[in-house]
Amino acid sequence: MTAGATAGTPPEELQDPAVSVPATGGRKGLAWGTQVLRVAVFAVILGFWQLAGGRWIPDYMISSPSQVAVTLWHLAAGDTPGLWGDITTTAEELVVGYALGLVAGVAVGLLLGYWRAGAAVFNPLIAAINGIPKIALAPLFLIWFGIGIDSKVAIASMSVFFVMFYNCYMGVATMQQELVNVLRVMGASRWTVIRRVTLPQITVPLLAGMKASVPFAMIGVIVGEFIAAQRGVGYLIDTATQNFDSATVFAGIVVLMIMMIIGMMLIALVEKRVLRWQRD
Amino acid sequence: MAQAEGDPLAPRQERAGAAGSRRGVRFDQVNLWFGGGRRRQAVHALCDVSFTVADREFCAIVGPSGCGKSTLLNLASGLRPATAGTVHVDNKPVRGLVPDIGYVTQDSNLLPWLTVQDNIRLPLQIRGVPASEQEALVERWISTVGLDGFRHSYPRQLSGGMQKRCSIARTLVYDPPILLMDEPFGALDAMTKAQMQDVLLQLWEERPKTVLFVTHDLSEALTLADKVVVITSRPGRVRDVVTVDVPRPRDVFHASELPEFARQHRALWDMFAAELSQGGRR
Repeated sequence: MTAGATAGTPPEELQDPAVSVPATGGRKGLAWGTQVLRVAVFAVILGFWQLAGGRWIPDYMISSPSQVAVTLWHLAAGDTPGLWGDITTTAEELVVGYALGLVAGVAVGLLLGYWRAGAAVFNPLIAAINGIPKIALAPLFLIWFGIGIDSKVAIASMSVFFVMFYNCYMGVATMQQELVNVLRVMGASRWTVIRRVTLPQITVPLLAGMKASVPFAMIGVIVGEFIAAQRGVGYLIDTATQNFDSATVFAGIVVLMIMMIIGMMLIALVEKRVLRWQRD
Repeated sequence: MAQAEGDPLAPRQERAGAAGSRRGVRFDQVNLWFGGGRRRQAVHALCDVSFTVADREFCAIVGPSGCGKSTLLNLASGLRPATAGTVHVDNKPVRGLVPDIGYVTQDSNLLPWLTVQDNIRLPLQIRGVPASEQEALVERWISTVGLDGFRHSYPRQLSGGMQKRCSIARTLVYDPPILLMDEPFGALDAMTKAQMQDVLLQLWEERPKTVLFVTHDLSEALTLADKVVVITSRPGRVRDVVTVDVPRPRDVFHASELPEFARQHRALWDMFAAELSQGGRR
């Protein structure tokens, strides 16, 4: 095995030096075993759940994977109406809330990152507001913005705002002044410096913030829907809970998981494009 | 590497100084104090520094570390104002950033998210050079500094010497008439350093610029410069200004064998050593 590997590796490297990064080989060697174990762990958990549901633990508490699957099927097929409308509503709240929080957080982060006097004045206020659990503000937001999507957008964007603000602000504050000076000496305007140095340099903290804030946006939206809504996946889960319909609750949770995974994948795609310079 | 250098950089760009412009740099009784707050005492970094670098003169600035050599370049570029005294560039007092200056910093300071060619293109974009001319200039400087195979590489994929070459190309590509260099070859191994000195000297001999070259390497100063300014340890003062007698054109690899070189090296070193021991006593 070892002899085969050492004999086989060098020609591969000669053939295509760009592709044969050692890590790839290592990952491939582990992959199938790991892959099998991952599926196995998943299957065992689902198996236990199936076994326990209705047998050791009452149905209304945990339902069972098969029931969840059937419920999900009926929901998706439209036999039980409303799922797609719920998904669209929740997705809209998520995307709009996330985008607003992102833009506002980056804008204020840049502003205070550059304007030190302003940062000194506003930082305590921002820290104080950030210290409030956002969930505690959710009922207020419902009073202010109504039970439509606006209130959920507001809650989500507020949660995202603080994550993005701090990541952006710290990114600007810890920026390398040398690169800025290099551009200034070349004759760059302030805006050119922001565009060519500041923004690329804070992409790493910004992307970290973008990833970290997806779950926050989700929590904001779902909690908002729990409190008062007419549509949405959170609303679906909430009404199902009140009816002790745990199969629908779990179906809703599965839908949220899928939405979350799609969101994370989109951000990973952006990251891959933007951080090309960091890879080998 | 050298044969491509015969043609002028760009036809419409005139050689600096050809039309009688005087791109000199003059320090007049410059004083600089650092910091100084409620608790900390201010540091006197530069004390009554006065010297002149003529148009298209290659001036080396040497001195013990921490004497404020690099600060002199920041003053000349306008990145930092002097506490007292004036710096004149091109016969105008420096207020704010000086245009038409090239600054090769101690670290390469390449933008890590740009490839080699985009890093070199950056100053051309900033200065609004027409896109049609950018390509030819970038092409030419990539090959001048010997980075042909690496134009699409990112800085982190390059060795330190290659990063340095890229950084020098990025500064020279816009042909600044005044060039500030802060220990540009300090971190390189001896071989690469000599090669880089050779490239720099060739470029300078073909297109002379006003150069302020900070170094702590006396041999490097004598190999490259017309004039060596010796700065004392803190607070930095001008200890002496020495005109280098080594004849031009110089051969970077063998200049140190010349008798003039050996004589001046010894004289400079004695001055330097005295400065070091004085700095140690205080």
